[in-house]
Amino acid sequence: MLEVKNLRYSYNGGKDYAVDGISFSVSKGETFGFLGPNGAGKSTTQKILTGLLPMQQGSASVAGIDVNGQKSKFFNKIGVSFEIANAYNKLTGLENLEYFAGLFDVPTRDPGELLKLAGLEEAVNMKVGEYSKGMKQRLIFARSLLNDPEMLFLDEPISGLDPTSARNIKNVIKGIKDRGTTIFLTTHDMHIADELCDRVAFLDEGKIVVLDTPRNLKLRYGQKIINVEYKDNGRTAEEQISLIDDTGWERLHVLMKEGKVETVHSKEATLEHVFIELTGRGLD
Amino acid sequence: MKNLLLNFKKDWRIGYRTHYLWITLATVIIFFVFIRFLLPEAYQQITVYQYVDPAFGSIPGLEEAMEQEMGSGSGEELVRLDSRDAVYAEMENNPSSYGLIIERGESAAAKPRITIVSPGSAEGKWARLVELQLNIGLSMGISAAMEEYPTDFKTEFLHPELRNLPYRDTFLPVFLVMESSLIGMFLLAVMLFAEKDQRMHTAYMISPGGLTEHLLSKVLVMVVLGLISSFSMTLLIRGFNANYWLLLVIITAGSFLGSSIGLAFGAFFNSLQKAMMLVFALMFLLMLPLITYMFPNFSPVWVRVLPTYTMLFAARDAVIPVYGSAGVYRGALLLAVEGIVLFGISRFAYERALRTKS
Ligand SMILES: Nc1ncnc2c1ncn2[C@@H]1O[C@H](COP(=O)(O)OP(=O)(O)OP(=O)(O)O)[C@@H](O)[C@H]1O
Ligand SMILES: [Mg+2]
Repeated sequence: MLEVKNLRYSYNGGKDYAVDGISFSVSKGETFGFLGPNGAGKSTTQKILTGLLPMQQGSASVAGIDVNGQKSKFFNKIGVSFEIANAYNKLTGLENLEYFAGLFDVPTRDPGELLKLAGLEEAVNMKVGEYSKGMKQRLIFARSLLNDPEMLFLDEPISGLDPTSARNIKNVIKGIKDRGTTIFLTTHDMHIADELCDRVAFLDEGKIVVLDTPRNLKLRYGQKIINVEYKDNGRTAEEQISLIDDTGWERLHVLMKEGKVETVHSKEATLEHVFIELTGRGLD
Repeated sequence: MKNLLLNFKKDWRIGYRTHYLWITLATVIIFFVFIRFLLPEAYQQITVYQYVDPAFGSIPGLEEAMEQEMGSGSGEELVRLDSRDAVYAEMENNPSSYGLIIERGESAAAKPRITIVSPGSAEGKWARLVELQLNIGLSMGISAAMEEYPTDFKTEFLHPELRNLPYRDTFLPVFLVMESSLIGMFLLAVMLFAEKDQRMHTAYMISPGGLTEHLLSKVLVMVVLGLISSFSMTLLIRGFNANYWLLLVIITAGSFLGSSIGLAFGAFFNSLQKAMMLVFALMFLLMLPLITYMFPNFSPVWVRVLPTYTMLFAARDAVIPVYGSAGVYRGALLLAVEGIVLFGISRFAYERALRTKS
């Protein structure tokens, strides 16, 4: 569905590259997570893939259509939600969606229904200028679904939302995924990525450092740490043991042999751990 | 009070960094220079086209009277022509001219008939004053020189229809140009910048909608606004004495060009603040023909090629329909062509700018 080959992009005529030679492909119906720290080049990548920025080097296609210099046929197939919410402040939420719905040449979903889906039923007739940041974010998410796109690009659709709204939007995305829509999801939220994405790519300084399923990544890169509780002179002691090298295994062995161990819990690695391990820094 | 000062300091700083001070000063200077050095004092350069029937030979006193009347070396010009028709023909091309025709009267052979041809009241009461002055001066000069020549004075109008044109009506075209094209240009630029500010162009670019419609719709809004204001203003001032078809033609074309200029600003600049300097400079330049219109002596070629000049005179022809329609069509065509070229350029520049700055 999405094919990206050797994509490179520089904002300053080649001095440095915001996107530095990335390649990947997303198959039909797949949800592809795009993770990385601030400034990694995630939004830049999405902008190139949606035709907002020109293709400088490399190539990309969506549903077999080259993304470079596309016109209406291409845009009828995709849906895009932006990192910075953009809607007409002087129009109401409904008027905004109605306007954009009118631009498509394909059947569109009912704007009122989409607003409800995004939890904006109360704000349908409110001017967007009066919306809160999270409401705007949800509005443009709803807008990206207008044409029931084959391929959906979402740039941080959940960031800035309160927990309830975030859960709601996450469920909507899940629903879209279940309908077979291919999704390119940029996010900082590890739980979302873990839960929704079939595969995730970690981007750092414009390069993909790793690309795999969340499960494989956690197995491969997550710290294998166990939490052991044991009796020590009548008191309960707790110890974290890393099983990455032999010393950890030996220590566990000793404790087991002495028969003192009360509980053993494996501490599950998160994608966040994976990321920190890969890039040496956090995601936010 | 402290808050007020604090705010003032902040706002002054921002304004200063946006060149507001310089823009203001520059405008003051430009206006000063213009008024002091470029603009002639009113009616110093009147041209009088004179035709004297050769049958009279020379009329004693006339030359002296004319000399006195025209002053010496103050820029007025006396052009001697050899037919009555030539006087009318020359006057058509020179809005600040008068005609003086001296010919044999119909009844008494010896009695010369002096006709002063006035351009009409297009220039208002000043024209009447000049006319009166010529008239009195001439009659005094001639009668002083030769009492036996009782003269027969008559005033004719180049466009008799204009004779009763109220002075304020002549300002209508000025309003029409300001309102429909200059304000349209400014508003369109503001509209476009507000949209860029809300990052709406990105939302639009990922939709199947084309850029041409996106921009043209804004131009159309301006054209419609221009038509509404022009029609209502003309209706109020001229009632049914205007040619509304011609008005429609010229306002549509002029407003189209005006908003295309506004579009160009949106294409080449990222914010109104950055464009401000040029917007002001251009508005000033485009307003110069208004001065030409009111003071016809100031009409250098570089002012006459400005689109507002074209529009101004075409609008005049539409709302004071005595000059014929050819000028309106010619003007509208010129403006439309200029508008289309500019719209095309702006559209492509806009697209380029969007695709590199998203
Ligand atoms: N319009 C622009 N002009 C110049 N440089 C830019 C522009 N937009 C982004 N950059 C630079 O490109 C790099 C990648 O930015 P990008 O927005 O793609 O990062 P991101 O991964 O989306 O970050 P975030 O998590 O903060 O959204 C950054 O170094 C940024 O400074
Ligand atoms: Mg981003």
